Amino acid sequence: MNELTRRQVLAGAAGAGATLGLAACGPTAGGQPIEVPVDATLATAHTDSPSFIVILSDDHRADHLELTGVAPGLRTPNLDRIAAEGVRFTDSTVTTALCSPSRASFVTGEYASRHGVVNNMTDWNPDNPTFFESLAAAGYRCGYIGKWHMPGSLPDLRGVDTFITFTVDEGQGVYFDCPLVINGVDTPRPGTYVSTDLTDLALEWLAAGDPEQPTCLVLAHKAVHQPFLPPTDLAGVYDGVPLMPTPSEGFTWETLLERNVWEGTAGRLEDVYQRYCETLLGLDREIGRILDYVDASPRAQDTVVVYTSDNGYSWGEQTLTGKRWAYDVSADVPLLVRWPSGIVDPGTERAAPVLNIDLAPSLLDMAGLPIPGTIQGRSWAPLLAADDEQWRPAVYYEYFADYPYQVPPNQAIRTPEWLYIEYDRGLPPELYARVDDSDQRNNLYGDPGTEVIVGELSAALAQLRVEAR
Amino acid sequence: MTAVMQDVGTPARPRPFHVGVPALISVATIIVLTLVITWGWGQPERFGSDGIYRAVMNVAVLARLGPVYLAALVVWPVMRLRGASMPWAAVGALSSAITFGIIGAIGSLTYFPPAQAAYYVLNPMVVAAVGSQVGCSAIGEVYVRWRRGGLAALGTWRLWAVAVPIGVAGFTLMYVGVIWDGGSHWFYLWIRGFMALFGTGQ
Repeated sequence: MNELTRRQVLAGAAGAGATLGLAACGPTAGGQPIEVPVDATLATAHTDSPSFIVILSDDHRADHLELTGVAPGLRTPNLDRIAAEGVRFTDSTVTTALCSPSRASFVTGEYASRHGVVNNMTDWNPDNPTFFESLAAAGYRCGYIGKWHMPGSLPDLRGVDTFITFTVDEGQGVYFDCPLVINGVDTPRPGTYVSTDLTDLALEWLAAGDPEQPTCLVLAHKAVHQPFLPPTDLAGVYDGVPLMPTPSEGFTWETLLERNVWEGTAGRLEDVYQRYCETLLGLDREIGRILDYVDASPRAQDTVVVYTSDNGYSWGEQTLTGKRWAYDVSADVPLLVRWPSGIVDPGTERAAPVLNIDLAPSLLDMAGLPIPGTIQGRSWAPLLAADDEQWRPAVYYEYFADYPYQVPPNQAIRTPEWLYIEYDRGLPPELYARVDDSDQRNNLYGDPGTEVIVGELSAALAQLRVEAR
Repeated sequence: MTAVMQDVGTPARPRPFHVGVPALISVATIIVLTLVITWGWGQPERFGSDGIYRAVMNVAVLARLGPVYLAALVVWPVMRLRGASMPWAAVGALSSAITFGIIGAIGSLTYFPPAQAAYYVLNPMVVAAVGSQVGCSAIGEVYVRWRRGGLAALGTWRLWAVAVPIGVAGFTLMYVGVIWDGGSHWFYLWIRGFMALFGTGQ
């Protein structure tokens, strides 16, 4: 691996050349929805099952909701509305704080170690099963609209009747005039803002279905990923408004440090962060449109709206701008669930530690379907009725090398009390007391008296490492 | 370019250190500022107050961009006026960008195997820095000609026929590296090259 051969050098040059060619041609295949056979017995039995709308955003850190008060002037009225009318999970984490692996974990219910999308370069395996297939087989009408962003050629997606996504900028998409691939067809979208455009398409898709048929829509937004461009009418709306103060170890131009610069956030930290919040406000507005539609629909009481994100984001904590690290701000994501007929005490919070790999089994569980053995997550549906902090004693985090981002491959174990991280190279382990040090500023590893807990956590981490495969 | 511009008179027997000191100062500045940044980031307690920490770090990060991207504006003309040949002036003009690239590669050894760390020197920031220094060198040579021959020396078409394309090419490289869509185009090209060489990097 460490010695370059002449063949490899030539291959590198060829790869660069191929990139130029690809950039000029655009996608040519893939992106088709593939229907799966419907099990008539299952479908008949599940006509009354709830419908699902899963709204997946990008890089939205868990504490950036108006209701938390972390950023005094931040407004997220519609996200807060989901929380007020449903349940908010306060310890929701992703198993890998990176777009592609996390997205694959959401749809498969598997750790990156198993589904194989370990970074933003490894291909999605088209044989990976997703929850769409199980739901479609049970008579659900399923659709995927929005950011797919998994490496490799755009796959055909089994179990959905509509697959709308984008491939521009390596699948990251762009905020304005973002061309889409609609059921495999390249489609220019001039004059559009991507959050609004995707929401328009989602509403069209919802309106086109049989109101009696249960549905599952994943609406995956580009927002609030960099370059953090809000809709035109919201640009500057937070000028002079107090948002989250920069952490003590953060500073204005930390975005230019090599550990941060590849995140694509070069610029004054305060300015970039303000755009992040404005972009989030624009996303919130689109979510309000979805909620309004659902509330006016015949299935309003039986529609589960789930809002979450693929990872969090550091805005100066640990002098980091970005994600990937195992720290809470990077790995924690919002998880809001609204289900009018299924949640008896709306407006409550749940402290049980839940993961992105829990989404797939939770949807299947709420639909009353069996959970395939390949799924490594656990349904949080029972937690909608009552909290259980002992539900999962510890969660596992894994991160794989993702060049050129300066984060060593690592694995971590997170309990309600501790965060313990082991790096594969370059850095010593880290230990943080989560209760007293929620921003993970005080590394306790090596401190006298921590030997026992480090030993216990290291052993537990080794066990989780095995189980994740 | 060398053949075109060698008619410029140069002082006899230039002293190597005297000639090269502008480049050395630029390189030393980058190294010192890098050490300050590395020592200080994430450690406000080392500075006594958050305000001092932020001021020092911001100044260090921004100040480092000067020699990394613009050193040749000074290094090239001073070295040339002190008698450096064009190849030596080019070495001096590019030394800051190359130093920046090497520092980045060494730093990335913490995170990546040696071959991947070596590939790091082709990153968009370094490529842009090289381009910028080339562009600045072209400007610097025009200045040298003016200093040595006055406005009359600027009247030769051969100077502009070489300096303008080189300057445009250099600044275009810088534009592609860090400005055009935030440098994302070169970034993706660089990553494609990485994948061809190292796969997914696991």
